[in-house]
Amino acid sequence: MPAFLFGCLAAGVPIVLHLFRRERFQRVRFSDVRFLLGAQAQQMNHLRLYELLLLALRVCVVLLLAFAFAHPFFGPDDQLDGPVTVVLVDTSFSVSGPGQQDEVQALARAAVNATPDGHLVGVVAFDDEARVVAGLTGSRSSALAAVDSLSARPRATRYSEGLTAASDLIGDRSGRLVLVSDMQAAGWATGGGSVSPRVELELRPVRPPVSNLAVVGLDIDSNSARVDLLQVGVGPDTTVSLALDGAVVDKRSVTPVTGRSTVAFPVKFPASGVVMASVVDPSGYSVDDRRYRLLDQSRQATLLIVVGDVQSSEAFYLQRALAPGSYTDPFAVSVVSAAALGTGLDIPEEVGAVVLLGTFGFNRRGRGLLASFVQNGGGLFVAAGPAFDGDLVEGFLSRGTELGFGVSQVHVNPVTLVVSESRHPIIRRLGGLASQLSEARFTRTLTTDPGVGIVIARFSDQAPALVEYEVGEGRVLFFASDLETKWNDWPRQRTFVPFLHEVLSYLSDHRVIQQEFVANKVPAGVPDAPGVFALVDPPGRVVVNVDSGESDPTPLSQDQFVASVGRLAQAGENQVELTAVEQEGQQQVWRYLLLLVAVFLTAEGWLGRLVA
Amino acid sequence: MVGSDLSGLAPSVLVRLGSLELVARTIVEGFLGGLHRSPVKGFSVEFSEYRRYLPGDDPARIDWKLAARSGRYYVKEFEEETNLECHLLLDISGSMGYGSQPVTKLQYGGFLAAALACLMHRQCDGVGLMLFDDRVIESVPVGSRSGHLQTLLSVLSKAKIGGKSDVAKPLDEIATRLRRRGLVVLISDLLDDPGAVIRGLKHLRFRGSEVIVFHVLDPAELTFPFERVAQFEDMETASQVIAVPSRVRQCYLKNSEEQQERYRRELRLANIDYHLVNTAKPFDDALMSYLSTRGRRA
Repeated sequence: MPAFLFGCLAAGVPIVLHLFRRERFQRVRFSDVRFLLGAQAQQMNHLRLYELLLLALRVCVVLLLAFAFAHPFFGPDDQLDGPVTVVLVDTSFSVSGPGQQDEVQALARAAVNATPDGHLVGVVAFDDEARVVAGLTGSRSSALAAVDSLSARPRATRYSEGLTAASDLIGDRSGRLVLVSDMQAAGWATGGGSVSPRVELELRPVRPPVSNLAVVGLDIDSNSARVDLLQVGVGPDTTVSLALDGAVVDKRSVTPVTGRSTVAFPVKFPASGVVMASVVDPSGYSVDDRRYRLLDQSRQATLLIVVGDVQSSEAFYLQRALAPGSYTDPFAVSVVSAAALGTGLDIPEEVGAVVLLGTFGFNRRGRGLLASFVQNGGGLFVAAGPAFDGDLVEGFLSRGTELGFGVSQVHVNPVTLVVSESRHPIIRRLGGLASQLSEARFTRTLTTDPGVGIVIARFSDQAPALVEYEVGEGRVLFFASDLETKWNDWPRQRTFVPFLHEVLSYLSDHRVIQQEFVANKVPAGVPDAPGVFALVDPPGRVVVNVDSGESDPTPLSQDQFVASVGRLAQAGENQVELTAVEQEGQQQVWRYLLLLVAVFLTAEGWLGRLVA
Repeated sequence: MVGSDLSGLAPSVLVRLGSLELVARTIVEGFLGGLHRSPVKGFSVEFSEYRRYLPGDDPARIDWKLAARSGRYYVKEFEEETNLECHLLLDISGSMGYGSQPVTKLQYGGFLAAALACLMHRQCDGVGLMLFDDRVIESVPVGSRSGHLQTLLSVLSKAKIGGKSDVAKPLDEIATRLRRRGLVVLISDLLDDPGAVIRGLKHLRFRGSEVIVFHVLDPAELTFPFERVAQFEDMETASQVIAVPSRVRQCYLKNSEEQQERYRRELRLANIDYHLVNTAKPFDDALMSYLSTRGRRA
């Protein structure tokens, strides 16, 4: 709230009063002031010093109050000043086509060399994550060396990541942001970053490949395999191969049609093994020419959604959000009523996480089952809502752990979500989307006392929104509003689906071993390249495929691209604001300022009495 | 005894009487009436009149023969001889205009001078008056005739505050004027160079005169009772000092007391009577001092 900084002007009030007060000494005609003169010099020095101290204290109090109300925070330490040029280089696999890497290098080098005199230069590489490969420096050679070290990775394009990292590097400075990229439209899929209005954006487009053929899907059932192809542009005839554990099982010549197509193979595979579908595509990207599928017994994460009434719409939006194709990691979902849980229905072994939406009819055995599930390492996601009984949940769940579920609160002015624990894995996985959580409006929430829980997100009125508790060996995530549209409009926002996926992945991570990954979400020790890789702990193997969305190189025009960034500028401001609120909320510098005000006022009172 | 009551009247009450002559007579009558033992005994040799005995009069002065004849007690009063020249020197410099009480130092000094003049006139001593600041402003030569007192009181009542003070100057002037040894009474706040003042007084003493110094100070000058920060302005020089009384009080009082002590010490050595007079207190002490010195002179 920088407007409160205008309150600093009030610091002039004590100064004016001080000046007036100098003239308001009582005038006393006295017979002889000679006897006063000796003492006067000493005491006047003290008096002047005290008065100056008083003035300083009063001015400080006013300034501190103004600053405290402005809710300041300490931002990143920007040591370098002056204009900068940041070269943002795309390293996704959409610039790995024939000749594209050379073009990227040439354009990036040219951008570095074209840095105006007086500018510092930095290089940021990005795909689905951003890396500062050359911090701001006056040395062109360092930046050029950083550019030379870059190469394409089997990752997707996320402009939001790159723009955010570049903006962070630029900070409050002015300057230029030179983007070297193929301007792929798919790069905007997950939202945008921010570019300061003081930064001039220059585009150095890399020509996309003439055509690209990619394997974007591989589905296998008991009697057949279906290979999904994506053809962009006009390509030559090709051969689609299907191999099991490296041995070709079948192949077929096809003439790819532009867009998506499916090639079916009538084949029966064994219960285990790795199936690879591949095509020959010399003119497009090579990393998307094959796709792997693991036939080992699936250990896909299973979710159990507990509702008050299965006939109601309590889980409608949740189920839609977790449906196949909605996000990168699908879940197998079962919905049960709270009443049914415990009356002949147990929590299956393969369930990684339970989502509790309603508690109507929740009997003692069902509560015991759920408590035992959590105590033994299960994940529980509890969402408040009309059918949620906080006391009941707290009663069976909080064995030694205080879960402070309160009462629902109606907000005349809707509140929004603000991240308060940006280092939490859920928030980290959300990446740039975390800043867009504020788009949802909440008209009703449940008050919560987080106690020992970790507050991952808050509502804009500072009430806890998403709190994580450790219960036994498991985790409980409590969300203080519903997952329908009765208390908020979140299910209609774009962050709803990714948020739920990340929350449930997080909760079920330590119970279900994921076996198929996209290149940007591989577990530790697994390369982020397409292929089959062995795991040591727990023993097994996983397959890694590239993000199929990256296979479409269709670019935006420069105008469209700039317009997208322009639209993002507003979102970027929101993000900066949210980040500021987030930082301010974490630091709470205003508390220390008010404490200082109290100290200064005490000193002022003491000194004032001394002077008086 | 009415006189006794009047002698105890505070200067702030006396100032309301208006007429200086009335004030002076009130002071003197009250003072003399209240004396249990007359200090004027032996001053006079010529019988003047009988007066009814009043409690407090010396029983030795009762005329027992008359008492035997009349059955009433009368005391004899005598006409005094004029054998003394008294010079009243009243400081009217700017600083004498200060007064934290209803009475300024100048008013108090004027009352004192008037009372002394009355007393002297009653004793048929010759009385002269000199008003001064850094120079002699007004001068009334020594005289003892009946109208002389009125002249002197008239001059006193018209006295106005003057400018800067220079006590030594009139002292030198009076020293040169003195034709015979007499009594010099200096009424001043002595806010001047103590060395010069003492030299002047010693000069008078050297010429054989008795000297009485009434150092008139206001209670505020003796205690410095101010509380709030104030801008103090000198009444003579107009120089200004901003001071915090609580912080300068100790230093002020020390300087003031050192000066008083210097006057007291050095004047005693010169055989000069020094009396510190508080303008908040009645005139008894001052008059008694005079009578004591007068007695010694006689």
